[in-house]
Amino acid sequence: METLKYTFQAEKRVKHKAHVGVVGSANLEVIFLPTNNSFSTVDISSKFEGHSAVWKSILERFFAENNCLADIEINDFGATSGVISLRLLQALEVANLDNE
Amino acid sequence: MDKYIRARPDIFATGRDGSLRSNRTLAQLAGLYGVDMFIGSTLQIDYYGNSSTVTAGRLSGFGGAPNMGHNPGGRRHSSEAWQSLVSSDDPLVKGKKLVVQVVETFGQGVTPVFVEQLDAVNIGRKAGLPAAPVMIYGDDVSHVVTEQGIAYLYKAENLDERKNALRAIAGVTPFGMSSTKENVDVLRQKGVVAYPSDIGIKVTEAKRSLLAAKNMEQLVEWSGGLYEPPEEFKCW
Repeated sequence: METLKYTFQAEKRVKHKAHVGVVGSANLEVIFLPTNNSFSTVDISSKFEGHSAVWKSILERFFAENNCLADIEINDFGATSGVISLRLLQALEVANLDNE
Repeated sequence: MDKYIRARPDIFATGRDGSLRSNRTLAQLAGLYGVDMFIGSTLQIDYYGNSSTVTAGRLSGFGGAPNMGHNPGGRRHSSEAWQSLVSSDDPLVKGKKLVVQVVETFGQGVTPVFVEQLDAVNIGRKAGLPAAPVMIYGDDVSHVVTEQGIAYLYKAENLDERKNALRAIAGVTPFGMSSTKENVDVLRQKGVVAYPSDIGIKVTEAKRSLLAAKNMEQLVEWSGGLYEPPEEFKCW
Protein backbone atom coordinates (compact mmCIF):
# COMPACT_ATOMS: atom_id res chain seq x y z
CA MET A 1 0.00 0.00 0.00
CA GLU A 2 1.36 3.42 -0.93
CA THR A 3 -0.05 6.91 -0.51
CA LEU A 4 1.19 9.78 -2.66
CA LYS A 5 0.30 13.46 -2.61
CA TYR A 6 0.91 16.04 -5.30
CA THR A 7 -0.10 19.61 -6.00
CA PHE A 8 -0.18 21.37 -9.37
CA GLN A 9 -0.75 24.99 -10.26
CA ALA A 10 -3.84 25.12 -12.46
CA GLU A 11 -6.54 27.50 -13.70
CA LYS A 12 -9.60 25.83 -15.21
CA ARG A 13 -11.98 25.15 -12.33
CA VAL A 14 -14.12 22.01 -12.78
CA LYS A 15 -17.89 22.51 -12.48
CA HIS A 16 -18.90 19.76 -10.11
CA LYS A 17 -18.05 16.45 -8.50
CA ALA A 18 -17.24 13.48 -10.71
CA HIS A 19 -16.56 9.82 -10.03
CA VAL A 20 -15.40 7.27 -12.64
CA GLY A 21 -13.93 3.79 -12.49
CA VAL A 22 -13.93 1.13 -9.80
CA VAL A 23 -11.26 -0.21 -7.47
CA GLY A 24 -11.00 -3.57 -9.20
CA SER A 25 -8.15 -5.64 -10.60
CA ALA A 26 -6.00 -3.50 -12.94
CA ASN A 27 -8.45 -0.64 -12.53
CA LEU A 28 -8.86 2.43 -10.37
CA GLU A 29 -11.41 5.01 -9.27
CA VAL A 30 -10.89 8.70 -9.86
CA ILE A 31 -12.85 11.34 -7.97
CA PHE A 32 -12.82 15.03 -8.90
CA LEU A 33 -14.04 17.63 -6.38
CA PRO A 34 -14.31 21.34 -7.18
CA THR A 35 -11.96 23.53 -5.15
CA ASN A 36 -11.59 27.21 -4.30
CA ASN A 37 -7.82 27.00 -4.15
CA SER A 38 -5.55 28.22 -6.93
CA PHE A 39 -3.87 24.82 -7.18
CA SER A 40 -5.00 21.25 -7.70
CA THR A 41 -4.30 18.50 -5.21
CA VAL A 42 -3.96 14.81 -6.03
CA ASP A 43 -4.22 12.18 -3.26
CA ILE A 44 -3.35 8.69 -4.43
CA SER A 45 -3.82 5.42 -2.57
CA SER A 46 -2.36 2.56 -4.53
CA LYS A 47 -2.16 -1.12 -3.67
CA PHE A 48 1.28 -1.19 -5.27
CA GLU A 49 4.43 0.53 -4.07
CA GLY A 50 7.39 2.07 -5.81
CA HIS A 51 5.52 3.60 -8.75
CA SER A 52 5.81 7.24 -7.74
CA ALA A 53 7.97 8.23 -10.73
CA VAL A 54 5.33 6.91 -13.14
CA TRP A 55 2.46 8.57 -11.26
CA LYS A 56 4.33 11.85 -11.28
CA SER A 57 5.00 11.67 -15.04
CA ILE A 58 1.38 10.79 -15.83
CA LEU A 59 0.04 13.63 -13.68
CA GLU A 60 2.53 16.18 -15.04
CA ARG A 61 1.39 15.36 -18.57
CA PHE A 62 -2.27 15.45 -17.57
CA PHE A 63 -1.99 18.89 -15.96
CA ALA A 64 0.21 20.26 -18.74
CA GLU A 65 -2.45 19.30 -21.28
CA ASN A 66 -5.61 20.08 -19.29
CA ASN A 67 -4.71 22.74 -16.72
CA CYS A 68 -7.71 21.70 -14.61
CA LEU A 69 -8.35 22.92 -11.08
CA ALA A 70 -9.77 20.29 -8.72
CA ASP A 71 -9.11 18.18 -5.66
CA ILE A 72 -8.52 14.72 -7.06
CA GLU A 73 -8.68 11.47 -5.15
CA ILE A 74 -7.38 8.28 -6.77
CA ASN A 75 -7.80 4.77 -5.42
CA ASP A 76 -5.75 2.37 -7.50
CA PHE A 77 -5.62 -1.38 -7.78
CA GLY A 78 -2.77 -1.80 -10.25
CA ALA A 79 -4.10 0.08 -13.28
CA THR A 80 -1.66 0.50 -16.17
CA SER A 81 -0.54 3.96 -17.21
CA GLY A 82 -2.89 3.90 -20.21
CA VAL A 83 -5.91 3.17 -18.01
CA ILE A 84 -4.89 5.84 -15.51
CA SER A 85 -4.68 8.53 -18.20
CA LEU A 86 -7.99 7.40 -19.67
CA ARG A 87 -9.81 7.56 -16.32
CA LEU A 88 -8.39 11.01 -15.58
CA LEU A 89 -9.73 12.28 -18.91
CA GLN A 90 -13.09 10.62 -18.36
CA ALA A 91 -13.41 12.09 -14.86
CA LEU A 92 -12.53 15.53 -16.20
CA GLU A 93 -15.17 15.22 -18.90
CA VAL A 94 -17.85 14.18 -16.39
CA ALA A 95 -16.82 16.96 -13.98
CA ASN A 96 -17.52 19.52 -16.68
CA LEU A 97 -20.79 18.13 -18.07
CA ASP A 98 -23.57 20.72 -18.17
CA ASN A 99 -26.50 18.56 -17.19
CA GLU A 100 -25.44 17.64 -13.65
CA MET B 1 -16.91 -23.74 -27.72
CA ASP B 2 -16.87 -27.27 -29.26
CA LYS B 3 -20.30 -27.08 -30.90
CA TYR B 4 -19.50 -23.69 -32.37
CA ILE B 5 -16.17 -24.90 -33.75
CA ARG B 6 -17.83 -27.95 -35.35
CA ALA B 7 -20.42 -25.73 -37.01
CA ARG B 8 -17.86 -23.30 -38.49
CA PRO B 9 -15.20 -25.17 -40.49
CA ASP B 10 -14.96 -21.96 -42.55
CA ILE B 11 -13.23 -20.30 -39.58
CA PHE B 12 -11.61 -23.14 -37.67
CA ALA B 13 -9.26 -25.85 -38.90
CA THR B 14 -11.37 -28.87 -38.04
CA GLY B 15 -10.96 -32.52 -38.92
CA ARG B 16 -13.59 -34.89 -40.34
CA ASP B 17 -15.05 -35.43 -36.88
CA GLY B 18 -15.40 -31.68 -36.34
CA SER B 19 -12.74 -31.43 -33.65
CA LEU B 20 -10.09 -28.73 -33.74
CA ARG B 21 -6.86 -29.63 -35.55
CA SER B 22 -3.59 -27.80 -35.67
CA ASN B 23 -3.32 -26.27 -39.08
CA ARG B 24 0.05 -24.84 -38.33
CA THR B 25 2.19 -26.13 -41.18
CA LEU B 26 -0.23 -25.09 -43.87
CA ALA B 27 -1.08 -21.84 -42.15
CA GLN B 28 2.54 -20.87 -41.84
CA LEU B 29 3.37 -21.80 -45.42
CA ALA B 30 0.38 -19.88 -46.69
CA GLY B 31 1.07 -17.11 -44.23
CA LEU B 32 4.33 -16.17 -45.83
CA TYR B 33 2.69 -14.87 -48.98
CA GLY B 34 -1.06 -15.30 -48.49
CA VAL B 35 -1.58 -13.15 -45.41
CA ASP B 36 -2.24 -9.42 -45.79
CA MET B 37 -2.05 -8.53 -42.14
CA PHE B 38 -0.51 -9.89 -38.99
CA ILE B 39 -1.52 -8.46 -35.62
CA GLY B 40 0.59 -9.44 -32.65
CA SER B 41 1.59 -8.37 -29.23
CA THR B 42 4.89 -8.70 -27.45
CA LEU B 43 6.71 -8.13 -24.17
CA GLN B 44 9.67 -6.02 -25.27
CA ILE B 45 10.26 -3.68 -28.18
CA ASP B 46 13.60 -1.96 -28.66
CA TYR B 47 14.08 1.59 -29.91
CA TYR B 48 14.12 0.42 -33.54
CA GLY B 49 11.06 -1.81 -33.38
CA ASN B 50 12.71 -5.21 -32.91
CA SER B 51 10.64 -7.28 -30.51
CA SER B 52 10.77 -10.45 -28.46
CA THR B 53 8.78 -12.34 -25.85
CA VAL B 54 11.99 -13.88 -24.51
CA THR B 55 12.73 -11.75 -21.46
CA ALA B 56 14.90 -12.22 -18.37
CA GLY B 57 13.26 -14.90 -16.26
CA ARG B 58 10.82 -15.95 -18.94
CA LEU B 59 11.53 -18.29 -21.81
CA SER B 60 8.78 -18.71 -24.34
CA GLY B 61 8.20 -20.40 -27.65
CA PHE B 62 8.22 -18.47 -30.88
CA GLY B 63 4.58 -19.00 -31.75
CA GLY B 64 3.65 -17.98 -35.28
CA ALA B 65 5.18 -14.51 -35.18
CA PRO B 66 8.53 -15.18 -36.88
CA ASN B 67 6.75 -16.60 -39.93
CA MET B 68 3.53 -14.62 -40.07
CA GLY B 69 4.97 -11.40 -38.70
CA HIS B 70 7.40 -10.68 -41.44
CA ASN B 71 7.31 -9.31 -44.90
CA PRO B 72 8.38 -11.86 -47.51
CA GLY B 73 10.43 -10.20 -50.21
CA GLY B 74 9.50 -12.21 -53.28
CA ARG B 75 6.82 -11.36 -55.80
CA ARG B 76 3.33 -12.18 -54.55
CA HIS B 77 -0.27 -11.61 -55.60
CA SER B 78 -1.36 -8.03 -55.20
CA SER B 79 -4.10 -6.94 -52.84
CA GLU B 80 -5.42 -3.58 -51.74
CA ALA B 81 -3.93 -3.98 -48.26
CA TRP B 82 -0.52 -5.02 -49.59
CA GLN B 83 -0.44 -2.17 -52.11
CA SER B 84 -1.52 0.36 -49.49
CA LEU B 85 1.93 0.27 -47.87
CA VAL B 86 3.67 1.50 -51.01
CA SER B 87 5.02 4.85 -49.90
CA SER B 88 6.50 6.09 -53.17
CA ASP B 89 5.44 6.88 -56.75
CA ASP B 90 8.07 4.57 -58.21
CA PRO B 91 6.16 1.89 -60.20
CA LEU B 92 8.72 -0.71 -59.18
CA VAL B 93 8.31 -0.30 -55.44
CA LYS B 94 6.66 -3.35 -53.88
CA GLY B 95 3.78 -3.45 -51.43
CA LYS B 96 4.26 -4.82 -47.94
CA LYS B 97 2.52 -7.10 -45.53
CA LEU B 98 0.87 -5.19 -42.69
CA VAL B 99 2.66 -6.27 -39.54
CA VAL B 100 1.11 -4.62 -36.51
CA GLN B 101 2.29 -4.79 -32.91
CA VAL B 102 -0.25 -3.82 -30.26
CA VAL B 103 1.18 -3.16 -26.80
CA GLU B 104 0.60 -1.13 -23.68
CA THR B 105 3.59 1.08 -22.90
CA PHE B 106 3.99 -0.66 -19.55
CA GLY B 107 3.72 -4.40 -19.09
CA GLN B 108 3.23 -5.88 -15.63
CA GLY B 109 3.49 -3.14 -13.01
CA VAL B 110 6.10 -0.59 -14.00
CA THR B 111 8.07 -2.65 -16.49
CA PRO B 112 8.37 -0.56 -19.67
CA VAL B 113 7.76 -2.47 -22.89
CA PHE B 114 10.17 -0.15 -24.73
CA VAL B 115 13.77 -1.00 -23.87
CA GLU B 116 17.12 0.11 -25.21
CA GLN B 117 18.27 -3.46 -25.67
CA LEU B 118 16.10 -6.58 -25.77
CA ASP B 119 16.79 -9.08 -22.97
CA ALA B 120 16.83 -11.58 -25.82
CA VAL B 121 20.25 -10.31 -26.93
CA ASN B 122 22.02 -11.35 -23.73
CA ILE B 123 19.95 -14.47 -23.27
CA GLY B 124 20.84 -15.56 -26.79
CA ARG B 125 24.51 -14.90 -26.11
CA LYS B 126 24.50 -16.81 -22.81
CA ALA B 127 22.63 -19.74 -24.32
CA GLY B 128 25.09 -19.87 -27.22
CA LEU B 129 22.35 -19.33 -29.80
CA PRO B 130 23.65 -18.44 -33.25
CA ALA B 131 20.99 -15.70 -33.56
CA ALA B 132 19.36 -13.68 -30.79
CA PRO B 133 15.79 -14.93 -30.15
CA VAL B 134 14.08 -11.94 -31.76
CA MET B 135 10.48 -12.65 -32.78
CA ILE B 136 9.85 -9.85 -35.27
CA TYR B 137 12.54 -7.58 -36.68
CA GLY B 138 11.93 -3.85 -36.74
CA ASP B 139 12.38 -3.76 -40.52
CA ASP B 140 9.27 -5.91 -40.90
CA VAL B 141 6.96 -4.02 -38.55
CA SER B 142 4.63 -1.65 -40.36
CA HIS B 143 2.65 -0.26 -37.39
CA VAL B 144 3.05 -0.13 -33.61
CA VAL B 145 -0.04 0.74 -31.60
CA THR B 146 -0.04 1.78 -27.93
CA GLU B 147 -2.61 3.46 -25.70
CA GLN B 148 -1.02 6.76 -26.71
CA GLY B 149 -1.12 6.44 -30.47
CA ILE B 150 0.03 4.76 -33.66
CA ALA B 151 3.54 4.81 -35.14
CA TYR B 152 3.41 4.20 -38.91
CA LEU B 153 6.89 2.75 -39.13
CA TYR B 154 6.61 1.95 -42.84
CA LYS B 155 6.44 5.69 -43.50
CA ALA B 156 9.61 6.45 -41.55
CA GLU B 157 12.31 7.65 -43.92
CA ASN B 158 15.27 6.42 -41.89
CA LEU B 159 16.23 4.75 -38.64
CA ASP B 160 16.23 8.04 -36.74
CA GLU B 161 12.69 8.79 -37.79
CA ARG B 162 11.62 5.25 -36.91
CA LYS B 163 13.08 5.71 -33.44
CA ASN B 164 11.39 9.08 -32.99
CA ALA B 165 8.04 7.67 -34.11
CA LEU B 166 8.29 4.94 -31.48
CA ARG B 167 9.37 7.45 -28.86
CA ALA B 168 6.27 9.51 -29.61
CA ILE B 169 3.93 6.67 -28.65
CA ALA B 170 5.97 5.30 -25.72
CA GLY B 171 3.90 7.15 -23.09
CA VAL B 172 5.60 7.93 -19.79
CA THR B 173 8.23 5.21 -20.09
CA PRO B 174 11.79 6.63 -19.92
CA PHE B 175 11.99 6.28 -23.72
CA GLY B 176 8.67 8.12 -24.16
CA MET B 177 9.69 10.88 -21.75
CA SER B 178 12.72 11.62 -23.93
CA SER B 179 10.39 12.67 -26.74
CA THR B 180 10.00 16.37 -27.49
CA LYS B 181 6.79 18.15 -28.47
CA GLU B 182 8.44 19.73 -31.54
CA ASN B 183 9.52 16.33 -32.80
CA VAL B 184 6.11 14.79 -32.20
CA ASP B 185 4.31 17.68 -33.93
CA VAL B 186 6.44 17.23 -37.06
CA LEU B 187 5.79 13.49 -37.12
CA ARG B 188 2.03 13.97 -36.62
CA GLN B 189 2.05 16.54 -39.42
CA LYS B 190 3.83 14.10 -41.74
CA GLY B 191 1.45 11.29 -40.78
CA VAL B 192 4.23 9.12 -39.37
CA VAL B 193 2.56 9.28 -35.94
CA ALA B 194 -1.14 9.62 -35.12
CA TYR B 195 -2.76 10.30 -31.77
CA PRO B 196 -6.43 9.41 -31.20
CA SER B 197 -7.62 12.96 -31.91
CA ASP B 198 -5.74 12.94 -35.26
CA ILE B 199 -7.98 10.14 -36.52
CA GLY B 200 -11.21 11.38 -34.98
CA ILE B 201 -11.24 9.24 -31.85
CA LYS B 202 -12.33 10.70 -28.51
CA VAL B 203 -10.56 8.72 -25.79
CA THR B 204 -13.28 9.58 -23.31
CA GLU B 205 -15.71 7.53 -25.40
CA ALA B 206 -13.77 4.35 -24.70
CA LYS B 207 -16.49 2.80 -22.58
CA ARG B 208 -18.30 -0.53 -22.51
CA SER B 209 -21.07 0.89 -24.68
CA LEU B 210 -18.66 0.69 -27.66
CA LEU B 211 -18.21 -3.05 -27.29
CA ALA B 212 -20.09 -5.10 -29.89
CA ALA B 213 -21.23 -7.60 -27.27
CA LYS B 214 -22.14 -6.11 -23.90
CA ASN B 215 -22.26 -9.42 -22.06
CA MET B 216 -21.77 -13.17 -22.40
CA GLU B 217 -25.46 -13.75 -23.06
CA GLN B 218 -25.23 -11.86 -26.34
CA LEU B 219 -22.31 -14.02 -27.48
CA VAL B 220 -24.44 -17.09 -26.84
CA GLU B 221 -27.37 -15.53 -28.72
CA TRP B 222 -25.26 -14.56 -31.72
CA SER B 223 -23.77 -18.03 -32.01
CA GLY B 224 -27.29 -19.36 -32.39
CA GLY B 225 -26.98 -21.12 -29.06
CA LEU B 226 -23.91 -23.05 -30.22
CA TYR B 227 -21.44 -21.32 -27.91
CA GLU B 228 -21.53 -22.70 -24.40
CA PRO B 229 -19.46 -20.47 -22.12
CA PRO B 230 -17.38 -22.10 -19.37
CA GLU B 231 -19.13 -22.29 -16.00
CA GLU B 232 -17.09 -19.41 -14.51
CA PHE B 233 -18.20 -17.00 -17.25
CA LYS B 234 -21.89 -17.73 -16.90
CA CYS B 235 -22.57 -15.23 -14.17
CA TRP B 236 -23.52 -12.21 -16.26
